[in-house]
Amino acid sequence: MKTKTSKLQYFSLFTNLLYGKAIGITAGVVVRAVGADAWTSMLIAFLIGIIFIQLMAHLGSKFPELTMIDYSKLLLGKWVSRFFSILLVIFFAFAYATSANTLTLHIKQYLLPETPTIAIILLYAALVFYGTSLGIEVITRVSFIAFVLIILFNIITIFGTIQDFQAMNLQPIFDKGIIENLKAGIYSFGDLSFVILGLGIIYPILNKKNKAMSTTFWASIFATFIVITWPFIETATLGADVMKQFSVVCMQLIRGVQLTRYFPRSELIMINLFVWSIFVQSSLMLFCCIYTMKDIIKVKKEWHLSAPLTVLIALLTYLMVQDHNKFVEFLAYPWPQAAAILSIGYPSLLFIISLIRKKKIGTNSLTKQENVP
Amino acid sequence: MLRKYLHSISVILICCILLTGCWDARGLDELALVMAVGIDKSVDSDKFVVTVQIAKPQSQDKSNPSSDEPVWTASAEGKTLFEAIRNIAKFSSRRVMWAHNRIIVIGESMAKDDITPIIDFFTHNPELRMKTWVAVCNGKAREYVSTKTGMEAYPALSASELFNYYELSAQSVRTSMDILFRDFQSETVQPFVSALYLEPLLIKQNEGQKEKGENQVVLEGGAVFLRTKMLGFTTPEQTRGLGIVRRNISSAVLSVPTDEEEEEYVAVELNSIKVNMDSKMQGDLPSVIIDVSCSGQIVEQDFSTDLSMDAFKKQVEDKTAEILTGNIQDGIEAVQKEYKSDVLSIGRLIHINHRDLWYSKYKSNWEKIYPNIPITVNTTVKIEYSSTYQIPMNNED
Repeated sequence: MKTKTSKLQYFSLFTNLLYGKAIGITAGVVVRAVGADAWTSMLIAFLIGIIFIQLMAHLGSKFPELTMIDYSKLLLGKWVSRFFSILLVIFFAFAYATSANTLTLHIKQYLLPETPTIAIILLYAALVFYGTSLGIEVITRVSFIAFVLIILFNIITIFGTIQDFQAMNLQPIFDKGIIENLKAGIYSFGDLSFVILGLGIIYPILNKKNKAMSTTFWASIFATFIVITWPFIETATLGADVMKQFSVVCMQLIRGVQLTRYFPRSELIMINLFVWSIFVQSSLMLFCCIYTMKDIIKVKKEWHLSAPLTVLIALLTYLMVQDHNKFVEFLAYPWPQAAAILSIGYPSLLFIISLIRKKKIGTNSLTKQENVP
Repeated sequence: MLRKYLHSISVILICCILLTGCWDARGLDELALVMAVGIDKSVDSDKFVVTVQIAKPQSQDKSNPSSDEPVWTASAEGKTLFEAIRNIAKFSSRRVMWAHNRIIVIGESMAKDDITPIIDFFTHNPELRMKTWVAVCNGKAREYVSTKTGMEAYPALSASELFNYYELSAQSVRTSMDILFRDFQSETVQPFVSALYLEPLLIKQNEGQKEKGENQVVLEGGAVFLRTKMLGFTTPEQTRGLGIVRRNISSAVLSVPTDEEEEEYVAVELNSIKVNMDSKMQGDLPSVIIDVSCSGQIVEQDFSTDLSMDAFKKQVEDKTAEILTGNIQDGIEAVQKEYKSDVLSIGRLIHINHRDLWYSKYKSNWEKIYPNIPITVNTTVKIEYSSTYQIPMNNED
């Protein structure tokens, strides 16, 4: 890729890619499986996820100027690579749809109940399409702004909920047992896969790669800390039994946040601080989808592909969220399972093949075959 | 050239069409802002009766003074709570809006029947604040919502402000919808809700004589629930004890007798009340120890004493601890033996401290086991200083 981004912007991308859906919707799915252990289950899953994020960064460091799509051709051959590209297009399309629907649920259920869902989805798709068409560099810049707002949002939420915080709600830790915690960790892969597979596409944009592995590691750790704060506070404040009742748990938490007597409601503050992060997440998923699709279908003008693809994905988004309950069920099964298989399996396969074919493929021959989007 | 700007033009066009804001537009002059709501269950027809107190903004407009009442109170019935609320639209000229509701008053008959519809409606309605106060009243909620009470222009404001000062008398707890919802949903904690009474406390001047007149809403006592139904009320003293253990009350003022005949009192202001609960196994049953510690000061002393300051403080500390322990034990007696409702989260404590036993032995039979759990209360009071020093004002000479 010709576009480059700074380490700070790259660092901020991780938190944005994990944040939006995980803090409310995934937390709700996990709490329905393991109750008050939601935060420990998510923490374990995120720590496991970091291993695969590091694996992807390691592969990226082997082929510093190539995307995952490019080096998979070298490692797996043209046709096998194309098969995986098709899977990735489907994955990124669904990833966009789940990300966009996270915002749709927030707006539809809490702020604009009378507004038609299709209007929210089309408007959001148009904005994301516009952002994507400006390029990955613009998305990463917005990502840094979103990152700052996320931290501010977390601080506000901590202060707003501290009076209702009950440590008793978090105990006993590992109430359902470590095995159940591990099993429920699969639900977090619906979010972790955004980073693992997204990293395969965006890695080449990092301008200085001398400490890329270390930056990736600390970015993942920081993102984990920022995200896990939410199920931790939600469980302590609302209690697991209340969390189970809601599809968007974070909004329910925010409904109870009272920033002094003079700010009795915080829903709009939340949406204003949170929407930037979701925008970055959705934009990056759409960008990755278009980028991967371009590898399968060669077109002269990029927008000949991106515009109709965006419309199709917007329709997919609408079909997915028509029934809110079915959408939430989809996020429990089969989405996280499929995302886990792809985000664990594909990097592992590439890594194993890279070890086997190490001698056959010279590093020089790899770096020369740069495929500029 | 046109293609260069195609993206921008298309985004602007879509925004123009979709961002008109028509769908969820609500003009302030079209809304009826609910300030308080009371919910009763009609015993005869088994219908929900919803009474709303709605603010009339024009009556508060100083530039255009009006002799109208500042609120409009109305009532409607329905087979479901939702239907009753929708039935208000039959005669309300404005759309009912819940975002500014300050208090939900649950009628006694409704509370004894089932509060599930109330919890369901108000927690799933995104308009409503989760910090809205909730109380169970003695009698019909309709009377409380329609009573002119307190000093504020809107009676609902007066009633809701009581919840901000409940700790001054420490004879009630305060319950918001999020706390009630949390306890209602919990497997191991039962709801304990603020209680309201109507008392003729307002003093009226009548031909030069003062006499008790109109009713005022009083926040006092608590309502004990078991799952979805209210079982009964607790006295103010029991409520103080339970509120302390539930960490709902952290300060209190007590009148402490200093002699055996209980004729001479000192007023003790307690603050920083801290509670620690622990459990241990005693044979087959777990036992619970509640340690309460607090500091305080003597704020009123109307009699002289021959005791030294240290001895006097020690005497007051012991007596205060005795009263506090008595309040807590009375409260526990009521909820554990009389109502058999675990409002103090004893079950949660056992779950945390004896997890394996909880799942294997206690969880399935908890309602039978809970009334037999021995609970010990230890109270420590530290009088830090006496604001009256040593000699009472009227004994100085």
